[in-house]
Amino acid sequence: MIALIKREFYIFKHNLISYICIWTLLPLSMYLFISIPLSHHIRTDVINYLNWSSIGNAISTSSLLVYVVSLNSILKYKYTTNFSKMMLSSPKTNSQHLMAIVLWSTGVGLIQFLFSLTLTQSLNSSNLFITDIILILLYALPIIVIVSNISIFIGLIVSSSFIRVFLTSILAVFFLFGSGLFIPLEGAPSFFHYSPLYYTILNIQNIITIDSSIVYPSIIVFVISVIIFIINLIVSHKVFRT
Amino acid sequence: MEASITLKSIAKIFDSDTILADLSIGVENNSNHVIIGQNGAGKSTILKILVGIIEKDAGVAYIHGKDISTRAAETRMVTGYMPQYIDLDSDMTIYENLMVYSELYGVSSNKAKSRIQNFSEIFNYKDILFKYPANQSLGLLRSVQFSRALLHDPRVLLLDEPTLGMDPQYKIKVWNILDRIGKDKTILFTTQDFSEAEKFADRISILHRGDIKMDGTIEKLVGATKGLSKYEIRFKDTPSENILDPLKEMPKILKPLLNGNSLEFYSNDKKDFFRVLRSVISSEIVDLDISFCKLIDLYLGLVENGLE
Repeated sequence: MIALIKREFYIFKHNLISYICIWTLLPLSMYLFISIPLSHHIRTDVINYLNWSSIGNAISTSSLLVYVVSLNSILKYKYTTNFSKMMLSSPKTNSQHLMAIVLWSTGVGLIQFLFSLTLTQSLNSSNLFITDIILILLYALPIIVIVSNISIFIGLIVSSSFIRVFLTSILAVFFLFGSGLFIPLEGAPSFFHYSPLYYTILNIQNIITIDSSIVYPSIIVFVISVIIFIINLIVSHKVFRT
Repeated sequence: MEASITLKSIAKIFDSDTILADLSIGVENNSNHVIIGQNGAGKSTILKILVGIIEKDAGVAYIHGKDISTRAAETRMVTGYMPQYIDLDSDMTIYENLMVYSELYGVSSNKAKSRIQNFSEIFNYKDILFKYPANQSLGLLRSVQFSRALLHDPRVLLLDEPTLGMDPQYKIKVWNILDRIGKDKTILFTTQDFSEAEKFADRISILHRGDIKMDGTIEKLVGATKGLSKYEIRFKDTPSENILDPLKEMPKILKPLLNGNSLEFYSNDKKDFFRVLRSVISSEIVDLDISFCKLIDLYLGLVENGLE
């Protein structure tokens, strides 16, 4: 597995400047084009909207990056002339290949999360304790992992790039505006409230509003991502080696 | 002799096209075995199945007695594979490509570095080791791929047209290395170059329509033709098609063909040649050529169904 991650690291090393640009520009763009315009229309309790939406900013940017990194990695396994295809001839199993993608993209996503959180929090002169940041990261981790697994699933089952872009757009719109990241869902239809994703995000927001938070929605999200990983593993046997 | 690679009743279908059908083949331990066949005959598919890049639809395959499906990690560990196409990662340098490959097979960093150094000197790619594969010559990249397949010192080498795109100098280097290390390795390769197959393979398999049609040493394959020879009579002017008529009445003559100024045919009876010569003597003959059947003749005969 280390060899598989090392490959990603070599590629990352050559693209470090691009990554730094993404890590900084992505949260700033979200802040500028979503948070600031919405701050004129949405009022939140306890803390101001710009502060409140920093969690949404961090989760959305890290999820976006994780989605792209995972999708890019999994698609390489579909092309005959790619190094990834050749790696299938090595003693590594499909689960190791998939796990390497999830671990690498999660790592990159967590760095994005920290960049986004730091940038948006510093723009609003907010003070988060280190324990708060650790707790936020722990709660956000299952979201990042599930996004990576969903991305791998889409990469595995959808061969048409048009349908892939279409699906990605729908997921992005739902995720950005239908899961409580930038728009509070208190007044939204009740079916939104059954989503463990919504509760996980709400819990993270509760940390910065110094409200009580519970761990089980994050556990449910993590369990779902494990189930998706197993489905991906089964699908990979049909897709990788054909 | 013990078989190093065994394939039994292997079948593979791609999009309703049968690529391999009930294919069985054995490769002896520490031997050089070549598979030749038309484009799309399934040569690469056999190697890809053995190395696990594609799954077979039916049959069983063993490498050193281990089932490639149930003990995949073990069989892949002892196998080195060189594909036909360039598959180096364009986002990494050549050195990084080779290092990642070594790590996939658990080769220690120091050992990998020394082997990379060694191969880069043999194949003269030391100067481009820290460059990206893009814009490098095909022959050089093929030599990198060849080195890569050997980095973990595998017991079984599966080489898909190993010298494709290489200049003669590189080809010689490749065969010299294979000659040197081949004594304690099993090498299964495919090629379109029949002279390479005749020269370097201990055993030759001809793959046609998804199955092995002929298999054996070059002596055995040629011997099976019972002295079949190829005759060629070259005329000053292009003769008419009627010149073939007397040949068609001679039952032992195979595949008579008028190819421009040349009349070609196969026979294992020299007397036939003299009979033909007598029948065409009215036309002005400028040259004669007689050669024993070679691998290429056997192959073309099989593919075109004339000599089967």
